[in-house]
Amino acid sequence: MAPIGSLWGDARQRQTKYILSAAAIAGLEVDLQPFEFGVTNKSPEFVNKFPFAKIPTFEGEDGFILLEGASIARYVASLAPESGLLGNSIKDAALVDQWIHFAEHEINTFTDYIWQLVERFVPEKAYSENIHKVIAERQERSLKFLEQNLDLRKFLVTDEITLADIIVAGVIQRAARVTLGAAERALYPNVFAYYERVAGDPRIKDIFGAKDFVEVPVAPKKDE
Amino acid sequence: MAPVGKLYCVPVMTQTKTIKSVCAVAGLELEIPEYKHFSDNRTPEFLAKFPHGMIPAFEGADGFNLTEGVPIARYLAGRAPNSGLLGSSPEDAALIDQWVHFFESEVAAHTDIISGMLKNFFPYSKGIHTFLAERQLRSLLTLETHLSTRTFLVGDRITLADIIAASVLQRVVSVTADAAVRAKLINTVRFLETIVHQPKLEAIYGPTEYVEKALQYVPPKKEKAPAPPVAPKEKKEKEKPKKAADDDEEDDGNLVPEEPKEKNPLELLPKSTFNLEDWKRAYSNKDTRGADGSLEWFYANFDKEGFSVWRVDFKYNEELTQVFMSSNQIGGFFNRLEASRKYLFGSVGVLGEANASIISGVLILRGQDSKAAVDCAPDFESYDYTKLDGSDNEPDKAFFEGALAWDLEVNGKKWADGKNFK
Repeated sequence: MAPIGSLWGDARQRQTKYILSAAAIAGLEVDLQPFEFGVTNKSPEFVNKFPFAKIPTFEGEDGFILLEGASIARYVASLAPESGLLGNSIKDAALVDQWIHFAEHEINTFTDYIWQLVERFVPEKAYSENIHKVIAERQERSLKFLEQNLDLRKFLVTDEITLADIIVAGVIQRAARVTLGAAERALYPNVFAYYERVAGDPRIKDIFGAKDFVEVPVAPKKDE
Repeated sequence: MAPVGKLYCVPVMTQTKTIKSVCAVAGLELEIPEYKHFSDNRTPEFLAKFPHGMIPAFEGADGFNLTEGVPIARYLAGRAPNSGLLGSSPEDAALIDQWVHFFESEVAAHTDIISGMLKNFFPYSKGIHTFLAERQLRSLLTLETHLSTRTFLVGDRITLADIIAASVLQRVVSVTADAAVRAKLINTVRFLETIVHQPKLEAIYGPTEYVEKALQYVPPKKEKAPAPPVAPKEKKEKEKPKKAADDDEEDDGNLVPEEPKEKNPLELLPKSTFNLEDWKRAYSNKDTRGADGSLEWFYANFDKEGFSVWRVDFKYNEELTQVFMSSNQIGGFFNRLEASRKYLFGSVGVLGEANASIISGVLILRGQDSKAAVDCAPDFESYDYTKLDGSDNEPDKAFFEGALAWDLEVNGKKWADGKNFK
């Protein structure tokens, strides 16, 4: 079968995993292009075609260009409605949407900010542990909510994996590599049992790859 | 026509404007019940429908409950396919999706954190403020180029993307995108004006407050009640709904305790040459050890008549378990010392490992009596305070420097994690 388009992304990047997983379950092929961070996205060819110069970036076989990981994943899913990735009704689709939004804004945003703080992307010598703490607490609140509301007998929206499960699992994997060490993960047994179910699905196991969970949350880099 | 459902929300939130606008264009009637944030969303009835307790929350007339602003907007838009709000092809829908996601992650997220810091929901950091404003500008310039040849974001008519864009941008131009920045965003401003003045949407969006100069942080004065001072151009709303609105979460706001009625005895001490705020800045901006480090600054500027240095040790180390929990305990202790912020600096850590650790560190405080500076914290007596004499006493000096540099080691236990009070 012919690929539906090309994807520039990094196989380790959470958003790229969303898209490849959606494609795998939808039975569609997406052509992952070679991409070297700092090189490909600075090359004139790339920047002229994709001015925002961020990954993932998708270019359909018909020339259709799309940005934003979750949006690309949703588009891929929408091309195979029988896959059940967006549920089986308008209301299912809305609930899939709701969980994706929750995962990205109420969990992942905080992982990203904490990563930026500890890796010193923020141009200030002093690491701000106050902000770190406040943001970590917001994430905890969301994780507690997810922990209490997961029904382990099914998936988030239907009895089958939907795009919501793929994206929540991707977000959890990322959090467990940055903000959630072994001690923190032990606070959310349902969440991590759910993660194993989703990421262990034979169709997407290799896309999610090795867990690479951290023992302790990533510590702030020492001031140079 | 019967209402399609109820929306629990507060008027000023961007998500509220988005959802109302979608309904206006889609020709759907939306019921907005009386709603008091922080109380109505904590009732058992509300939580039974919406367990996470957040707004906006949509209760469909048919009993379908949905949360998360954009998903609610998208669902309602989908109920009126002829409105064109979601485009007329999968590609259109995907592009609308893309722009919505872009606005939320690459524009609104930054305004949210910056605004949160300016209103004291988060501790303020100038570095983070600058960093986020720069990233946001990059996104806005991408948008600017896209809009240079277009009236609407996708296709030739208004879609969900335009509505969300306008809601987000209306806030951006009142917080970060000031007159100087807007000079680079002519098409974006033109676009914003076009959308907010659409006849069906004008009343929902209301007037746009264009800020002259990007909002700057003004630290709260202790004497006032927790009122975040923001630029006068901000909309005049009642304090409480405004705070709730800019954050769709439950923020219990500023936890600054009230000023004690009698004057603090530490205020009555004779003036000192050592400026605690300058020290805090030096500690934050310099390396601790080495040439031109903060320790060097400290020894050059410290006034041992006006201030004193103390070793602080937790009394019940055998109770300590996980390192991160002990670290949280220090954080809690520091939170409760807030009333002494003007008189105190601390660097305290957890040394050792889980179930074999101690809490230990130093305080630099005004005056010669530790109790006067720390007794505002109800749990101050859980710690031992030992005055350190830095001048000639080598072990004291080594302890002090280790606590500041976060490399202190005591009885073989190494510094694992710590907190600063500054």
